[in-house]
Amino acid sequence: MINKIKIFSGFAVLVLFTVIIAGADTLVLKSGKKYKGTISRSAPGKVAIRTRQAKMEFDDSKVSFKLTKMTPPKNAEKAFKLIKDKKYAQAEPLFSKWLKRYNNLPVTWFERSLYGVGVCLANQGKTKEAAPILQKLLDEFPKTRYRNEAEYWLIELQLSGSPGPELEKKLKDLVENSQTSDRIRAKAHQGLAKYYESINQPEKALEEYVSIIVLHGDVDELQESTQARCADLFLQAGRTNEATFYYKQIIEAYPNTGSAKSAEKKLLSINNVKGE
Amino acid sequence: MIFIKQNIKILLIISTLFFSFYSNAETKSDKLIEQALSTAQRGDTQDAIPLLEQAEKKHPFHSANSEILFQLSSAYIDIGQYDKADAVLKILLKRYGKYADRIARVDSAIIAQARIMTAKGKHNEAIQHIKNFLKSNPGSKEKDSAYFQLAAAYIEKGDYEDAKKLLKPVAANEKSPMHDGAIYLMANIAAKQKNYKETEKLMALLVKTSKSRNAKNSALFKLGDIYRQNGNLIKAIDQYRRIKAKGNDPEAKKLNAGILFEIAQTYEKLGHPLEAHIGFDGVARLYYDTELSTEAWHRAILSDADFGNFDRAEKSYLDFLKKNSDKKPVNDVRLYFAQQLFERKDYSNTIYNLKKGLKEFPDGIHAETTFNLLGITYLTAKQFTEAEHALKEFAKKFPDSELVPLSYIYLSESFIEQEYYNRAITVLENLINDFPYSDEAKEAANRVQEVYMIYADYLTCTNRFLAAIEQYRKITATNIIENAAFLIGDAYMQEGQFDNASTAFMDFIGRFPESELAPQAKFSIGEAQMQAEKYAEAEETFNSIVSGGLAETNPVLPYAQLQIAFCKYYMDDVDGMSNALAKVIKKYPVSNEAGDAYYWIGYLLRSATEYKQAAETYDNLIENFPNHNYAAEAAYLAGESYALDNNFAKALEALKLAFNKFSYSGYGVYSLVRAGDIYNQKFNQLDTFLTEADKLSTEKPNAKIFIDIAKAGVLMHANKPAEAAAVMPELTIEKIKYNDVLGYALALQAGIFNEKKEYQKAVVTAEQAENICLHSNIGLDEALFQHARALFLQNDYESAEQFYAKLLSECVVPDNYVNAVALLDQAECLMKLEDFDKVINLCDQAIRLRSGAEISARAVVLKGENMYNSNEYKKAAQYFQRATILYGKIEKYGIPAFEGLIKSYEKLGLPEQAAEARKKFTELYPKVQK
Repeated sequence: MINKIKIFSGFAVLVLFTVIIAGADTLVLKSGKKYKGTISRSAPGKVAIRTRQAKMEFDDSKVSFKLTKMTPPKNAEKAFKLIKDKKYAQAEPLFSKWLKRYNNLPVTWFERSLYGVGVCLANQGKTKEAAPILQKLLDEFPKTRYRNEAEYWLIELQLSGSPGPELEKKLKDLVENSQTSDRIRAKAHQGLAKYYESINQPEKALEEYVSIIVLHGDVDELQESTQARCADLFLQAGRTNEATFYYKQIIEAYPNTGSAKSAEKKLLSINNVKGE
Repeated sequence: MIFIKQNIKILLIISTLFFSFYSNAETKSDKLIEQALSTAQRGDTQDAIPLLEQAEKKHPFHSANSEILFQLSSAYIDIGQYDKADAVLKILLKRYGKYADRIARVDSAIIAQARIMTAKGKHNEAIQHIKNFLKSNPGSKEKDSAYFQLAAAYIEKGDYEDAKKLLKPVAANEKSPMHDGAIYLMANIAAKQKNYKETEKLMALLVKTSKSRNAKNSALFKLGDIYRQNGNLIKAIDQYRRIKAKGNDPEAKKLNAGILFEIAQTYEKLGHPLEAHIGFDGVARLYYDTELSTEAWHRAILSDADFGNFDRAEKSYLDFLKKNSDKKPVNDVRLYFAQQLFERKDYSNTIYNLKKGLKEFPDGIHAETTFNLLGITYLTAKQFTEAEHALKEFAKKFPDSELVPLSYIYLSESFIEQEYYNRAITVLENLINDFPYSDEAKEAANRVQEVYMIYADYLTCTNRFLAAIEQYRKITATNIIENAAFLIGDAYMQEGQFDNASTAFMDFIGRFPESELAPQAKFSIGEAQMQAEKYAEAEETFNSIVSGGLAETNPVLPYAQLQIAFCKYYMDDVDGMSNALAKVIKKYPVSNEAGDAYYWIGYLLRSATEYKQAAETYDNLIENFPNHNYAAEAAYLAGESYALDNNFAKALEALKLAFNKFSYSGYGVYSLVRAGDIYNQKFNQLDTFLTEADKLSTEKPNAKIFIDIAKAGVLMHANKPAEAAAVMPELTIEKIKYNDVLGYALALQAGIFNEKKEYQKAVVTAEQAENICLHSNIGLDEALFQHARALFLQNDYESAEQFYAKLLSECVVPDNYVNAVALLDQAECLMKLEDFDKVINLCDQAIRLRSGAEISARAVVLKGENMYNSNEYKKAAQYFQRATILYGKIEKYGIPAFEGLIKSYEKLGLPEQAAEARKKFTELYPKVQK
């Protein structure tokens, strides 16, 4: 009940202020001065505002970005719905427009633009373009609410390139960082596993895959492929007990899939060897 | 100002809202209520109840009071205090019943009343209560909740179908707040109806569709439990590992840590150490501030060792020691490592960990076991000195340990392994004395008896029979004393003390008349008597065995009967032997000894020159016992016996049969050689034999190499060494495989070398042949003959004579010609060595073999020379004269015969006779110079 009252009060205040400032950006300087107009990035370290009267330019250091308000894009709801519906090709131009509009400004809408463009590009397989944008999102907005998603995609994107010790270090940091979300930690384990496989260290890879199974069983999207890799790597290591266990799990959990069919074949070969 | 005036109403509303927001948020009552509600919503009932009670008591007029009362009643229901819950609900309804349209918890309270009724078993009342509610509140927002509760009442009543009817539409509506609950209840119904497939299906649906993490977790739990109960751990663990509480609050962490710990334990039980390690390690690292983290770290170390990653496990263990002031939780780690390594037979690292463990926790609760295991590991690693030291130290340091007696046992075992039996016995005796009431003392008492036996056996194997007897006599254990008593007799036998052996076996029979070994003991008495050459007594003993009422199938019986035959033989009672052997065949016709009996009857018949009967007896042996040890020899002897009976056609048939049946044995090859000899010597058909042999090679390609050896042998005997050398195959063990054939073939090879005048090679090859033939019992005659001949032809008369003597005393030489040559060679050797006494006899033996004129000529001349050399000129003249008359035309012997005769006459002072002899000599051999 208390919460409802609070929410209601907050909402009322929000509506009130939204009505007051609707229609233009508000640039607030640290000195307390406010300007209404259209804010843009004029040069690195410089913010410009075009008011009805003139265009003014200020150093970033003089601007209170906390109090500065940017008008939201008109198609905000539509753009995010397109992402939700996985229509990335349609969403990308909308977010790209925002990127230009909020270009390099330390404001929420720039943060959202980076996220939108990065995710749309990544989902369309445009690896090279997506990675720097998502990285920029993390660099410019270290506390961004999109951190998990960005990290997730970055791992995926970096792995599709040529992963090396730097990526290994980064992924290890992610695994060890207590602030990392479960999903990202699981993804980082997967990244490490793939990296170790690429440099022919199957034992280390196996440990990473097993970490996903044991520690992050709730990250559904990684389970099927991870169980398959675990089974194969255990088999490769000669541990047929564990390999059999995972093949059976795949058959039970993902019936009629390609993984299940492959697991059935391998299980048969194990049993043939065992019973020869 | 204008703005203020124009918007005064709006501002008033906002300021009121702000005021109420900030003022309310900061009051003490709010804090208490917020805390009470959040505790209740978390499901922490025991903590929530006092807070809720306090909130109700202190702030009954608070706007959240209806929620407080509802949560309080729910908490009471959860802990089974239904009356209290009912009272609280009544207060709620009394206070807010009128405002049901505005206060949601009013409807919830009415529904909760039904929940209480259901819990109290008043199902019908509950059902009616809900039905009334639905009737009077058809548009209630809590309608689905009412259906849910009604269904719950039906379920408790056992009316599952009605319940399902109510739940189905709720479960189908994903937007309903009771959607998850309805599915959950339906799954429960299915479980109650033992329809596990339906339960599984519904739970899986819940996992898939539920948006609530808690509901999803509950479903996963339930699903996991279903699989576990059905024994499907593979699927069960796949559900459990997907459970995770969201958030980073202590409760979520506690839950997640608990689940992960359980998962790790399950993997451990399944024998998946890597997964177990990662699970435990995950609890230790990710939930390091939970209660389970320390134990999890400990278990992570152990499971890493299970996985075989000892380096990482040790590193983690050392890290634990460094970071934790309380080191006790890991005081078993080194011991665990050691046990794992011990199982992997990595004794060096086992010892390393045990030593480290003792250093790190010298007085820890595992120090005793660790110390003990150290000794055992040294033992197993066969580091006996260290083991002895460690186990003794252990006994000293932990004198009251239950493991001390066992360590005595281990120590004694180490001594046994090192063959220090006396020390082992001493340790065991100490154990019996020091810990007389322990289980190990009983074990030691048994073991010491066994050690006497082991020690005695060891002494027997090293030919120290009397010392062994001393140990056997110490044995008193009922389970082995019988064997020991028997072995005393055996040991005496081996020591050659046959009388003592007899006494020991008699003693054995006296003590253990019913023993299974008794017949054997009796038999051994007989054997001992035989060894002591007391044949009459032995015969009596064997007779007593035969007539002793033993079961007809007892293997001792035919053997005893056979021994009776030998006793008779040694007592020179050949007929008796023959009768005894016949008895073996009659009484035990299928026994192996019956085969022996046939063989020995054959021997007796041959000795009595009853060759035909002998041959038929051998035929019987082959027919009845084709796989008998003597079968191959008997086959050969059958042929040989027919030959001795002058029935050469039958002999050829038998010898060829012997080869066909035993082609890959020495006797087979030997038989073929003898067949060839007969072809050549008796029928003058060497070529026929060679043609037949080639035909045989085509028929039996695998036996070709043996046939070639036989051909070489025959050609050699036919005095065709060049041809023999040409057909003789290369002799290697890889090619021949069978030792008896190889020995004989080498002997033939030596003969070929002799014919080629390669005497040194002949000697070496003959020696090889002898070594093999000594064991294979065939071809030794040929080997010795060729050896002697090689020496003879090199004029090494002394050595040659020894080999000929050995040949003629130890072997039967079947070829009369060879036998005669051997006799004459030996005679010549003796003469050259001026040992004249035996020469005449040897020559006479050679003559009696009737091996042709040349042999007889050589024998007679040799006799003459022997007489001449021993200055008996008259006798010499007689032998020489006979030689000139009978064999004078054989140049090789005629010339020395004439020369010897002339010399003898001259020595006798008979010039006329000498001149007459010279005249005849000149007439016969005009070109020979005098």
